[in-house]
Amino acid sequence: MQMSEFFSVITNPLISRALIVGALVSLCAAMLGVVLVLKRFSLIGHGLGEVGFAAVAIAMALNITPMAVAIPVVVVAGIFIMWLNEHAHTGGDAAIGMVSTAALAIGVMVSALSTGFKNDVYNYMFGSLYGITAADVWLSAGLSAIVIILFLVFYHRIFAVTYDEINARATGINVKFYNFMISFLTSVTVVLGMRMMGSMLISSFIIFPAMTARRISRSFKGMIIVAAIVSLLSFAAGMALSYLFDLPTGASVVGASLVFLLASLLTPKKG
Amino acid sequence: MISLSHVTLSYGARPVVEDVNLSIERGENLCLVGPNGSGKSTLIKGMLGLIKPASGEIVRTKSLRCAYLAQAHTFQRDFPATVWEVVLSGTLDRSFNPFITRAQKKRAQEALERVRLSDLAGKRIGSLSGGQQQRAFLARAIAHEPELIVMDEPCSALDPVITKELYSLFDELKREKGLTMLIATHDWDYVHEHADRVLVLNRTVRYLGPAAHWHSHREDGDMCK
Repeated sequence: MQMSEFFSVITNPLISRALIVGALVSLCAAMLGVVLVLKRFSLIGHGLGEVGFAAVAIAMALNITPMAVAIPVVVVAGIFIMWLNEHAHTGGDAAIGMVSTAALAIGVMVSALSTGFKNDVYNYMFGSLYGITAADVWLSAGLSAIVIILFLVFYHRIFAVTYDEINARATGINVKFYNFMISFLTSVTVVLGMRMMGSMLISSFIIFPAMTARRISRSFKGMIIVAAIVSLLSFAAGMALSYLFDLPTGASVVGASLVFLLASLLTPKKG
Repeated sequence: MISLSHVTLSYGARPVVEDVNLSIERGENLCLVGPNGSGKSTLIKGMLGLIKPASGEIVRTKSLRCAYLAQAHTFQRDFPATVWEVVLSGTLDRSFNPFITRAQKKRAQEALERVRLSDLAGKRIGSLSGGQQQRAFLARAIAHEPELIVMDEPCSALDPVITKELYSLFDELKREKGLTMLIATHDWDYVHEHADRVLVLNRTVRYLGPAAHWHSHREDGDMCK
């Protein structure tokens, strides 16, 4: 591909919108991924992705804007999973398993009952570069900015709660609030990423860059920076593959991030 | 500081600690002794507000600055965090400010100097030895500028040389900052040399009073029975 061709592709409104949204989602996913991997709560993204799929299926069946339904439903599901984990003596994995399989079943049934498997629902499950409107870009930019700003504002306390929750509680930090904040930010990131990566694969995109970064980082700050770089590079590579070979975006991006992860597994761990 | 009134702490239906009455006195070194499974850790967690009492009341001064030092063990060995990041996190408290102030950084630096770990500030905390890691956690506790430090067998997994080093650090801190200390320990030599009061726990309180009185009675029989 020639330079001029390359520029004409990336300045195409369809592609440039996808690039902007994707870059923002990559940053959000990297930050939250670090926290979820270190808290050993990686699967929550998977559970919330399934809930997002169900919410989108219901929204489409009722002819409502998908994001308007997905955001509140996924946020509530995130809080519910955290609550189950803390209070109902359900292990985190069982809580997520319950919620995600129930959501998947509901989503599939609603899709089948309304108009069968529409192409739109398929795109939400596996991701699509196309169909992102200018309004979507503004909404995604706004939500991503909220996620990034909140994460940075609460950064030090998020670290304290992630590294040593017991000590944080003992010194008076409101651990419940920060766990809620992490759940809320993860939920918003999942909904933001669902459109392009798909509900099935958004959780992999959240955790793979963090897992890669963990092996080569000595500090929490370093892990976030490396995860962000890996996430952005994976997105760029995946998007290129998706465009050039007409592949589903989610799978291409996750495939690219998997290559980074495998490469990191081959390097010796940083001491 | 912290007072307990007829406190029972349970895991599910099973009471682990029963009917404890205790009031921590400012400036004292209170040692908590008892056999394994006597409920020492549970009592500590109750006092720190980590678990709610099944019955009774635990009253904590609202503005109480409290720090906690757990047993030395392989904690979060794989977690990428530097010694500096961990110690700095000790300067956080109930109040909220998104930024770390210069004063907070200074406290963290001074805490690291105190425990003689300044040259390891940039190292990943999981790569430190057990004794070094425990010193880092002590620095985190000091950086919090606590009035009360609660410690749960802080030296049980450490060798005698490191243990002696840590004990002398505790002494220095108590002398210089007038710290109140509550230490759960199996080390009766430490209790003999440093405790002001002793609480003997074996599900219920078997003894609570001056350390000297406990020592003389300990020779006569086992107060933990």
